[in-house]
Order: sequence, then structure tokens, then C-alpha cells
Amino acid sequence: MGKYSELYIDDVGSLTEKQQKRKQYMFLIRELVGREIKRKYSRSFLGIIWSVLSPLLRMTILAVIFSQIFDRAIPHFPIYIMTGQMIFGLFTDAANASLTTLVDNRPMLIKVKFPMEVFVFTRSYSAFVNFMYSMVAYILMLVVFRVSVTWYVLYFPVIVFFTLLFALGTSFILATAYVFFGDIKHLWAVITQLLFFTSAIFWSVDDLTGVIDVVVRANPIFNYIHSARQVVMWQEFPSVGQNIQMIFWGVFAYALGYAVLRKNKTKILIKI
Amino acid sequence: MKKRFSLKLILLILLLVFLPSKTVQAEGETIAFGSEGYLWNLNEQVEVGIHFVAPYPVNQLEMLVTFEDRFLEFIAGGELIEPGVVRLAPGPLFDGAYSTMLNFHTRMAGDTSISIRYVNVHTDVGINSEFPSVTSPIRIEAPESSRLGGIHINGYDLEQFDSALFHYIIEVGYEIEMPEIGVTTIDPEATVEISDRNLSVGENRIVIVVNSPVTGSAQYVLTIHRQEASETPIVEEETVEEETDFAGLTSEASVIHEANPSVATRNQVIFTIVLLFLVLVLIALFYLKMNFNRTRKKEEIRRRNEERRLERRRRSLQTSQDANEYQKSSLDDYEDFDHIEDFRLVDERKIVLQVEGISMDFTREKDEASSLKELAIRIIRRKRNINKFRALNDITFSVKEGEVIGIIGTNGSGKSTLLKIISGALPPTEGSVVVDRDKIQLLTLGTGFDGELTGRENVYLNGAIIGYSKEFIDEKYDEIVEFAELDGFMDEKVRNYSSGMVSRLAFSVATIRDTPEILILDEVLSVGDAHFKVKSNARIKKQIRSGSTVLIVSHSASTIREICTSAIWIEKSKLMMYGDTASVCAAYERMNK
Repeated sequence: MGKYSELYIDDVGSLTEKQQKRKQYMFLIRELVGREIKRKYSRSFLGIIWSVLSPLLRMTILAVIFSQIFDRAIPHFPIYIMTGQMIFGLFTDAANASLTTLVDNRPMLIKVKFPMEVFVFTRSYSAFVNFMYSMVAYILMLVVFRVSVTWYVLYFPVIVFFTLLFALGTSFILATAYVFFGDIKHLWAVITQLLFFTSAIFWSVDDLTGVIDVVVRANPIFNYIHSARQVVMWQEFPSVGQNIQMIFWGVFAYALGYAVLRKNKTKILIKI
Repeated sequence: MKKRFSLKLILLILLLVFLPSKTVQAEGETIAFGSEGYLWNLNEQVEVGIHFVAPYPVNQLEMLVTFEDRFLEFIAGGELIEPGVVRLAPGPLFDGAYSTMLNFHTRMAGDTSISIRYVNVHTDVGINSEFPSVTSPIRIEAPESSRLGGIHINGYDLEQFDSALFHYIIEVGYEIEMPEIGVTTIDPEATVEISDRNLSVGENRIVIVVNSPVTGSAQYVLTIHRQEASETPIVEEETVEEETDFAGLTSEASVIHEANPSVATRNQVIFTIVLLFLVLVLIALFYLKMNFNRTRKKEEIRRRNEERRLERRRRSLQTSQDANEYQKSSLDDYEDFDHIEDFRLVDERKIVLQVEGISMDFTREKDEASSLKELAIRIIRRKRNINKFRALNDITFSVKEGEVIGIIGTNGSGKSTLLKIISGALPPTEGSVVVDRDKIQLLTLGTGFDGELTGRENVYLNGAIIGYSKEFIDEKYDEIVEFAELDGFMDEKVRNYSSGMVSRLAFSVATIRDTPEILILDEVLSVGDAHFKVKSNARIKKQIRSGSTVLIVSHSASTIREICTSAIWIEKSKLMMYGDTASVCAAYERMNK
């Protein structure tokens, strides 16, 4: 393997230089995120308002349909659905967008020297920004349905943070894999479907038994959704087990994903 | 369990103490049941005492005892004339008194009653049948596994539900025509039947029967008052209903929480309002946007025309001179280069870039497995046809400060790969590059340009990508726009730009920076129309002249000759020649012939 070494030792301390670099990357990520979001809505009339509108509409559809199907309805069903959907949406938006990010940004990856993690960060960050816009709709609905929110809700950002961490880790792995195998895209679509149905977004887990119960409870996304519902709707604190699961999945996925991307960096550059 | 038991006890005491008399007295006759109310268990033998007393002799007494056949099975004590009706006809009664016991078997749990009707007293005087009927309430307790665990109406739990109580009174709004009734049973094996749920305005009775295969059935009754249309549908207050069936005893039990079903209705109303609101907002925004677009389009067209006019004028002014001027200017530059070269001949310069034995291999599978399935098959068959392709083979050279190096070679000889390795985009397979990477700048045009963004946004985005800080772009923004001659177009989407405008902007952004210490150019960049070409060439040359080290890749010997101080010739991945421009270019041209 080739290596680079520095011929000159800079007079400027390396710390400030590092900070400079970090600042530059942050600026870059912000600009790239801006591009993603502007592009996403560039040909629509309502633009960014869709970020608020679409979770509302999706919630309405699910709530209307499923309250008709299930006779034993869940209290605050619209909020129940919306909480699930927002967390799930954050994860899938980040993962789906990140999947193709390295391939999409091929020219930039080759010509410009900055770490390729930046591209994954960008897409996940876009998903997060989108999520924050959806929060507007979410808060609106909490008021409309008179969900009495207590200070437990302060734990909500923590849950979102770990969800994002988990999403980032998954994104790293997916983006790397997609460079080598285009099939991942289709496979991932199927897995997303599976995750959707095992995340208890529109049904209650109370009556579950047997294998499906185990599957659902092992699903990390369900755990995030469930915890979010607990702190927002039910004024409960997630149990210790849930917390451990939450942190474990977030940190583990991130570490694994980061390692995978790092390890394959050269291969990706050559392959691309 | 204990609670339920104590509840029973209280009921029993109340039953014995507070019950108003159910005795019927007319002209001195007394017709009564043995008890004012009955509390039985399911599947047991029970007795009902019937007492008749008259202060005169009776020739014949005739009475009908009615009961609900579903709850009670008649066993003995009278003549069963039809299901649920027992006839008693004793006589003659000389003392006017009569007592008897009827035996029943309880066959279903729930609240029911037993009545004495149609009493005919035959005396010497005649027949007296003017007796009101006498009724005694009966509650048949359900065993645990025949009971319901809960009742939900339109998804809301019936709050007052107690599995030992069989009757509930509920009030609902007019808009509920058919409530959803869900129940849970304590015994999972039990089945439930619910009667017709259609509600008419006023009082409705819905019967829920639980059938447990083990312990038998129990019946729960919901009395639902559906409000009239005019009444306000939103009610949340509790309505306290007095239940008199069980002699006022169960009034506690039948204090029913209303409200829950109407919460559901209220949600629906809110839902509709929110949706309507959203739709309205959508329409309003749509309208605004349309208007806005229309005005903007007009403006755009106006601007376009203006630009076209300007451009035409400029062209007419310049076309005549352009060619000459361009020639002249490049000649000037060429002369300038001679000076620089002279200046640079003084050596003792530092080596800023050292390329040591670089090789680059690309492994390509012959026909690449682009799918997992293919890969799996290939791995299993061990038939991965890997082709090693050597793009660069042991390249070594060094560049001193201030040199302008031309890298020459035919297409596909590995020039671009070499540039990528030097700029750090690709790590080499073998060898190393010694350089301060922060000082290297690969000049690229329009990386990350996006048609959907405005000119201004693209300047910031592209700037960020090629490494400008925000402050730097803020500071240089006006200069960039001015150089690109795009004043007034910066807030338009780049997709509406002409290709010339895009390349002018890209060039302007890429070259605004202070000259980097090591500049790498993939082909000399000159973009735009003839007029702008002059400008862009001048700027590139200024950068080259300003004392930085420059690497230029080109396949044209004339460009290299014009600008460079020395040249590197790479052919078929190998370094063919490295030396002064003239001789390298001569050798290259000779080979090409």
C-alpha cells in the first residue's frame, strides 16, 4: 500500500488546523444538505411544506384505514401511528438515501479530497432535517389530540439521537455494499418492508405471542418507536433493558458501519 | 375476588333490608313471592315460594307464573303450559291461604325476573281477576369463566364495567348509528354473541351472551340511549342512571360512564377539520405559487432578451478583433513565459513533490459479477476471473518549487490516474508520494453543480466542495459574479442558464482562490465564448505565473510547449521520458507519427 507523508512540518499547530478542517467539513455538509433538500422539492409547488404535510397525510391514511380494520382500537391512535411513522421514517429515509450516495457522488468522490463519510453524513443529516420539519406536524397533532405531555418528553431527543446513530451505522454499511452490488437496493427494499411490518407502527404489541412477539421485540426500530411512545404518550420511562438495547444498537451499528466503510475505502475508490 | 365477594354480600344485605314490599294487596288479598329478590348461582337447583292469602274461602285459585325460559328451566311445582309460563290451579282453599314451591334449574347467568300474572280467584260470589302482577328480580351469578373481562364501545373501555354486573346504561350521540362493540372474555375458549347493533333514536337494547364450554352462559345487557338529532353531539358529562329492574339495588352498578363514544366522534370532527384546513392551505399556496411563477417567468423572459441583446452587441464589437487579439495575447503570454523561465533557471529550489516508484493495479474481473447471485455462483465454482490491469508501472520523478510540468501521453496511458494519485484521490498499489497534501489543488470545474439550485447557491456549494470557507466565499462573492459576467442572473436556477454561462460561473469559482502552492490542471482550461476565453486564459496564466508549482496534463504537445518548463511523457503506463519541454515534446511527436 502506498502512503503519504508530509514533507513540511507546518508552523501552525496541528490542532487549529484540525479545527479548521472540521469547520470546513461542517460547512460542506451544510451546503450539501441544502442542496439535497432544495433538490428534493425543487419541482414542487409547496416545496418544504411537503415535509410537514406528508407525515400528516400518511398518518391520516393509516389512522383512517386501520381504525376501520381493527375493532379494538388503540387510544390516541393517530398519535400512536404518527410516532411510529416518524421514527421509522427517520431511519428509512436516512438509509434509503445513503444507499446510493457514494455511487451518486462519484465525480466528487474522485476529484475532490474529503472523507467519503461526508456523503453518508449528508444524506442522513438531510433525513434528520426532514424529520425536524415533521416535528412541526407532530407537535401540532399532539396539541390537537390533547395528549398531555409531561417532562418525560425531554427524553425524546435522546431516543432520536440513538435512532439516528443506528441509521447512520446502517447507512455506512449499505452505502459500502451498494458500491459492489447493485442488488442490495432491491434486497433492502424487501428488508425495509419487513421492518415496517415488524415495527408495530399501526398495531399494538399487547396481544402478541410466540415467534412474532420475539421477532418484534428484537427489532431495534420497534424498540426506538416503543420508547418514543412511552415518553410522549404514556408518561413512562423506557425500562433499563430497553435503554441498553437502544444504546447497544445505536453504538454497535455505528461502530460496525464506520469500520466497514473505513476498511473498504480504497476498494471503493478503485471500484468507483 | 375478595372485592367481588364483598360486593355480593352488600347486595344481599341491601336486598334483605331495604327492599320495598312487593306484595300486592287488593280487597285484603295478598299475593307474594317468598323473597323480594333472588340471588342464585348458575347451574343450581333453586326454589321460589309463592304465597296467596285471602280473607275468605276460595273455590279455585288460578295463576300464571312467567319467567324467562332462557335463564330458568322449570322442574316441578306446577303445570308448564308453554315455555316460560307455569300454571298453578289449586283449590278449593277453605282458609283462603295457599303456599307452594316452584323448583327451577338456573341455566344462564344474568339479570332476569319472575312474575305472577293473571290471577283469577273463583269464589261463591264470582271471579275476581283484578290483580296487578307481582314481579321479583333475579340475579344469577356467573362463574368466573363465563364472565366478560371488559366491554369496549367504539374503542373506548366501558369504565364502570364490573364483570359481576350484567346491565349497563349508556348514552350516545345522534351520529352513532351502529356502535362498534368489542368484548374480552375471561375464559379464552368462550364464545360471544352480540345482538343487532343498529341504534334507533331513543332506547335500544343490545344483548351480549357469553358461552363458556365449561361453565355455561351469561347474558349482559347494554341499554343504549341514542340522542335525538337536535341535541348537541358533544357530551362528556357522566349521566347517572337509576336502574330499577333489580329493585334499585343495582343502581350503583348501572351508573354508567357515557362520553367515551363521543370522544371518538369528536376526534373524527377534529380530523375532518384538520384535513379541510390542510386542503385549504394547499389550494391557497398553489394559487400563490402560480401567480408568483407567472410574474417570475415574465421577468425571466425580459432578462433573457436583455442578455441576448447585450451579447449580440458585444459580439459585433469584438468578432472583428477577437481573433487577432486572442493571438496577440497568447503571444504576449508566451513572451512572458520566457522571462519567467529565465528567472527560474536559478536552481537551488526545494523539491515539493516526490513521486517514488508508483504502480497502480486495477483488478477487474473479466465480466464482473454485478449481482450477489452471480458472485455467489462464481465463488462456489471458483471461477472468479480476475484480470490485473496495470495502469501505472513504477513511475518516479520529482518536482521542484516553481516548476511548470507538463504530463504528456496518448489517451489511456495513465495520465489521469497519475493525477488522481498525486492529488490523493486514489491510493497507489505500490510506491509513495511525498507531498504536503494541503498545498495541492486540483482545479476542477463545476464539481457538484446542480441545475436545480440558483447561481448563488451553486457558488456556495461548489466553493464548499473545492474547499473554500464560508467567510472566503462571502468575501469573494461579488468578484466571482463580476468575473463570470452574471450580474443579475445569480438568483435564477442554473438549469435555465446557457452552457456558456454555467462554464463561466464554474471557472470563476474555481479560479478565484489565491494561487495554491501546487496547482494541478487536467487539460488547460479555457471556457466560454471567444471573449471569455481570452479572459480565462489570462487568469490561468496569471495563476501559473504567480510562482506556484504547476502540473498540467495534456495530450497536445503544443499546449505543453507553450506553457511548461519541463515535461514528463507517459506511455502505456510507463514513464518514457522526463526532461526539458522541447526534447520530450519532440520525442512524443515523433512517436505519434
